[in-house]
Amino acid sequence: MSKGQKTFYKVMHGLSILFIILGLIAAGFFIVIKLTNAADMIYSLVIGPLSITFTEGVTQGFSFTYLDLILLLVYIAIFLIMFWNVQVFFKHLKDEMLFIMENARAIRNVAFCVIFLAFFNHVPFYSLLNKLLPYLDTNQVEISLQISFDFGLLFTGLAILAVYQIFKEAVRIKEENDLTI
Amino acid sequence: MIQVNLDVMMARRKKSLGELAKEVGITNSNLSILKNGKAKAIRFSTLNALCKALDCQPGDLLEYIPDDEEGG
Repeated sequence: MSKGQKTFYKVMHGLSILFIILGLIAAGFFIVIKLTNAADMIYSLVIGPLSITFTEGVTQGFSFTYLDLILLLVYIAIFLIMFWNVQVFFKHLKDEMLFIMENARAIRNVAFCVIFLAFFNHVPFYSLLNKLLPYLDTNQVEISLQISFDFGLLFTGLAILAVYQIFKEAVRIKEENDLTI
Repeated sequence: MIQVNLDVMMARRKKSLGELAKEVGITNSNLSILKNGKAKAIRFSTLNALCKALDCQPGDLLEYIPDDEEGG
């Protein structure tokens, strides 16, 4: 394995761990906000390329339910599971263990997480947005929410699933090769 | 299935595992895998070296045993 490759794997492993830590911080943030009833601290919304910032104090009295919190935590948990598997994969690559079943399983788990996110990506934000919309001054425009799913993510997830199938076959060939005397 | 009778030939020729591995040019662990029937395949070059070291034919090392599901 070249030095560049090893550095790349190390960086990717480090990044995945960083994302896991950020995910845990985000989960903690939402739990604290719910428990301290400080949801009116949320005064900025980012939906794709659109960012809405409320004037401070406008969202006074806004709060979210335990169901919202659970949905947000499920959303973060899926991210954590995904990045945990990514870090397992890159840790093995870093240690020069490429074609092993654990790596194949990590790829499969990432694929399942991505496919799940394709459907679940926007769900935690529907009810949050619904509750925040009344705080928007919408004299000139009409804003509505609709259920949607991320086709790009679904396709990516299915492509990763195909990579898993190929990787599984590679593991089988590697094992056979190792047991050829 | 194919059964490897390496242990029988080694006993006949009174050769130890380490000795044979050295003569054939493979590691002890690989020869052990072959002897215990855990190997999935054998290279012609390895078979050639084994036959030479044990002074025998491939048929002395490998034996075909019909599987139950094959009606044998």
